[in-house]
Amino acid sequence: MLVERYTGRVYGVLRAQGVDPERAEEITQSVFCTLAAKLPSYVEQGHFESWLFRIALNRLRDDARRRKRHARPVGEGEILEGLASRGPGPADTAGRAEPEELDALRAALSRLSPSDREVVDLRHVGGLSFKQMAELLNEPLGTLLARHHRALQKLRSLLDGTEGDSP
Amino acid sequence: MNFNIRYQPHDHASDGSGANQRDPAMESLIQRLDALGAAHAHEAAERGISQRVFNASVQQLGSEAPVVAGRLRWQRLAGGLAAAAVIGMATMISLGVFNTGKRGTPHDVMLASDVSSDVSAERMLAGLLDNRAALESVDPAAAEGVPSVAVTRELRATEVHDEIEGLIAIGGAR
Repeated sequence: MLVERYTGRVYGVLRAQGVDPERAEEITQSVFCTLAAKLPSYVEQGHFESWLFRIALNRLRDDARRRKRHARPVGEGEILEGLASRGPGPADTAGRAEPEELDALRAALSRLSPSDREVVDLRHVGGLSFKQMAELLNEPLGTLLARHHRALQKLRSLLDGTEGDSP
Repeated sequence: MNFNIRYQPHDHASDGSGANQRDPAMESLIQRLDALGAAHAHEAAERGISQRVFNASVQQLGSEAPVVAGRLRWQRLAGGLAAAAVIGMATMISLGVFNTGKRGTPHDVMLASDVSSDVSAERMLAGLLDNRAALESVDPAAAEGVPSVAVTRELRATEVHDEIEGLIAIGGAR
C-alpha cells in the first residue's frame, strides 16, 4: 500500500532533480528498502511523508557523492551519443501539457539553484504541504513560504527569458 | 498493470505560496509544474516500478529477518555468558578464592601481615587497637608515646585469633 501510494511521488522528485530514469528507480528502491527496514521502529506522529522524503533526499545525496567519487571525464562524442539514445521523456506521455512547454520548464528548473529547485520539486512534484516541507528541511514555515515564492519568481523570469529567446 | 497512481494538483488558492489565481502568469507556471509532477508519476506507472520496488522491499525484509534473528541469538548467548560469569565470580568470592587476607580468616590476616610468631601477632593486634595497655603487656618499649585508653586487658598469644576475629566482625582491621 505504501509502495503503491508513494513510489510515483518519490520517483518523480528524483526525476525532477535531474536523475535519469534508471538511477531514479534504483534510488527509489533503496528508499523503500530503507523504509521497510526502519518501519518497525517508526513511531507515527503525523510526519511520515516528511520522513519518507528525507530518506529520499539523503539517498539522492549519497548517490551524488558516490558518483562524484567515481566520476571520469566524458568526451563530447559520448554526450551526443547519450542524447541521441535518450528515449521519449515523460512529457511525451503525460498528455497534460505540451511537450515543448515541459521541456522549457525542465530547462528553466535546471537553472535554479539546488535549494530553490528542491523547494519547487518537493512542493509541485512530491506533492508535500508547506508544513511537511518545513519539517523535512528543518526551516520555519514563513521562511519556506518566502523561499518558495522567490523560487517561483525566478523560475518565471527564467521561463520568460527562455520563451523570449524562442522564435 | 494498474497501480492506481493518483496525482492531485494542489489547491493553489489556499496554499499560502504567495501565488494565487489572480496572477495568470504564476497560475500558468504552477499548472505546468503540476503537469511535470503528473508526467513523472505517469512515467513511474508506465515503467511499472511500483512492483519492482515492492519486490525489493519484500526481499529486504526477508534478508533482514535472519540477520535480526542471528543478532538476537548472539545477544541472548552473550547475556547468558555474562550471567554465568557473574554467578561464577560470586561463587568464587564466597569460597574465598580471591581472599586478600585483609578481611579474611585470622590466619589470612596473619599471613598478610607477614607475622611469623604469636608474639609478633600480639604486637600487631595491639598496634591495631591503639591500646597502650595491650601494647605494654607485650612490648613495653614500643608502648612509649602511645596514648592510653580506658580499656585495658592482657593479651595472650592464644587470644590473638579471637581478637582478630572480633575486629573482623565489627568492621575489620584498621
